[in-house]
Amino acid sequence: MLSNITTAALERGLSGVYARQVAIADNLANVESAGYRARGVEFEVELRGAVEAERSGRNTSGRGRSLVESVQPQMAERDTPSRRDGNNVSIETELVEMSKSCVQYKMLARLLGKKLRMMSRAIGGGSAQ
Amino acid sequence: MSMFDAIEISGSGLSVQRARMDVIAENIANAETTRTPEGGPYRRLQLLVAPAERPAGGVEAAGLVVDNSPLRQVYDPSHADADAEGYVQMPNVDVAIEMVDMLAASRAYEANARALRVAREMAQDAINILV
Repeated sequence: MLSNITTAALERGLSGVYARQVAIADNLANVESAGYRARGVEFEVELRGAVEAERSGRNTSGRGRSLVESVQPQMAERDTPSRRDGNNVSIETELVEMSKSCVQYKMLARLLGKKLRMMSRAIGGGSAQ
Repeated sequence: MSMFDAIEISGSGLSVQRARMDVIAENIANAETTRTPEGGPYRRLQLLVAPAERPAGGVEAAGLVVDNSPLRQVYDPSHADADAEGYVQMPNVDVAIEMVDMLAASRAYEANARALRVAREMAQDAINILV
């Protein structure tokens, strides 16, 4: 099966972490913009819910995309206190979040690669590396 | 969302911080300039930044504004630009403030550079899935 829950969840994970990196990059770029509000991206809770729902068989809306495949990263403003110019970007928070995203992305990419190679080995009867 | 969004956003951050650095350097260089082509002493410049008006995000310079705060009065009768009472109008540049701004700009530049590296690394990791 080429599109199962695991590959779909890993793919949505990669996409969510990348969306988070874009938000962090935007926050860091706007660290001096007056009135700018820092934004974060959430998707893990929704993704976990979708995975659990699919595992327990409450799968899909019939045709089309599965629950896991339709998980979208949600952007929300960070509600941290702002500076006097109305900007609430904290360089430290963003750098910490960025380090986490970097590791998370690496891990997901590696897992997805392993999963895909496993399937390709099954198809090719071991001809893939 | 494009694969290069994060890289472009961080790139815009880098160029804006570099531009701020240029303005700060100009202010410091002209901290004692009493004659300008527009007449009178140099006035401090300030680069305003704002979120870029692109769907992808990022930052851009929103304008270069002249700081109209009062000029410094220095008593120096021997100065060529001293007035009848011996006072010279000096630029409204406070080097200490410029130094603080420079630190902030340099720290922001560094953070953007790191974000750019992370985005590049992520793209590399994504490519490595296709082994």
